[in-house]
Amino acid sequence: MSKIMIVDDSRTSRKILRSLLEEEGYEVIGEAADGKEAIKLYDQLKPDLVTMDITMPEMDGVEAVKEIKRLYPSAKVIMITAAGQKGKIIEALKLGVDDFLTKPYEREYVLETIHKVLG
Amino acid sequence: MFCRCFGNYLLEKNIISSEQLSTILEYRRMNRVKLGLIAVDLKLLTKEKAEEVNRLQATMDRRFGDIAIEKGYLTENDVTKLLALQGNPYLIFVQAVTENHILSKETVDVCLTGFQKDNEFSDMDMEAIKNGDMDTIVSLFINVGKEYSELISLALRNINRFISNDIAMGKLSICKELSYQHIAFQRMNGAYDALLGFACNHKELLAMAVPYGKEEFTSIDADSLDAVCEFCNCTNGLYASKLSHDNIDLEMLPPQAGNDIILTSEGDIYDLPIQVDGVWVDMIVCMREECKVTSIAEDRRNA
Repeated sequence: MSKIMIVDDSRTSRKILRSLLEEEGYEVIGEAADGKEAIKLYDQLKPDLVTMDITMPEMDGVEAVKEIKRLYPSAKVIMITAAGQKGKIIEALKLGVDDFLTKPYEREYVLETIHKVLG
Repeated sequence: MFCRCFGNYLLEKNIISSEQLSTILEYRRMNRVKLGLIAVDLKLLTKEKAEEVNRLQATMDRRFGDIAIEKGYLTENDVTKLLALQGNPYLIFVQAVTENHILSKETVDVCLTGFQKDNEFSDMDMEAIKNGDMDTIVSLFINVGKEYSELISLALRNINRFISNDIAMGKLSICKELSYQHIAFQRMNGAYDALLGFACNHKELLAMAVPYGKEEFTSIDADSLDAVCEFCNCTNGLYASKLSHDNIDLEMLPPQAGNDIILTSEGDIYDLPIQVDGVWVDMIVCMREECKVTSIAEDRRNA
């Protein structure tokens, strides 16, 4: 089963997503609470997919994706965002983010999106 | 919202006791409305026919709707309509008070007329309250501008959806300064500044943190406040998404939490007490003007 890394500054949000994914048989191999930690962890774990919250302190999701994609152009990333964040969404699209999800997580939509991105 | 608000009204009027209100709220948490009650309320069945189907249902391993259709009392469309109304707040209240022998449906309806008269609500307002229409409820109980009411009703709908169906609103106050022991909040900026937060002075925020975080927190700490922060984040995300359809862009900043803080603003800070599972927390909303959040210690140093 595919290996997923969750990046979100909220422990609660990571927990909600982890439990949803694990219930469906995905393996959550790592969690990071900010962009810098995410880059380090990606390098160590090389997950099949990263879910990346766009709004985080320290280094936000867009900056982290920029670095991950620079180092690993084939990295698959789903950005967690709100439709209102147009500026950041455009930046993320330019960086080659694979898809977007919004909170609160809708189980069916999350699974459908992940399935689509992982092919 | 209906059960708690109307229940509080009946309590104030000494029509029910606080123990009876607890029974009603507990019943509401554990049950859905029976199809027979809805059918009688919609005048699709007489009380006698509904009781007959209930009696048959008790002796057969079959559903109410199937029996009623077979007897020719209801159509499939009727049953679909009844199923859609099973979460109706007014009907679950009626079922709770009648099944627990607290009040009859007739008494509930007489009291509702009093509630309507006392609050000067129209028939349309009453329908919205009975159906749990949050936008209308917010506009009836608190007189605030559209921006505020949209965010407040969205937050209340989300509390209902993710945290508890036992909620009520207190009296809104508008001020320039507030202090709290604990707060979880998130700012948005862009088209305008906005802040949504939840605050308390003891452990009241646990009433939100425990069900939302699905974790048995026992104290207000970084983890329990994180759960409330994430609730703010989800609510603001939906709010920002809604605004973006009208080409109003709000950028969400990372949520924050604080202890022993003072909130100040040149503009108005809206403080709306919300009762969640019987516990009061304060919903804080500030728009257009920046709302500063400083620690009490820092505030004293600056004084």
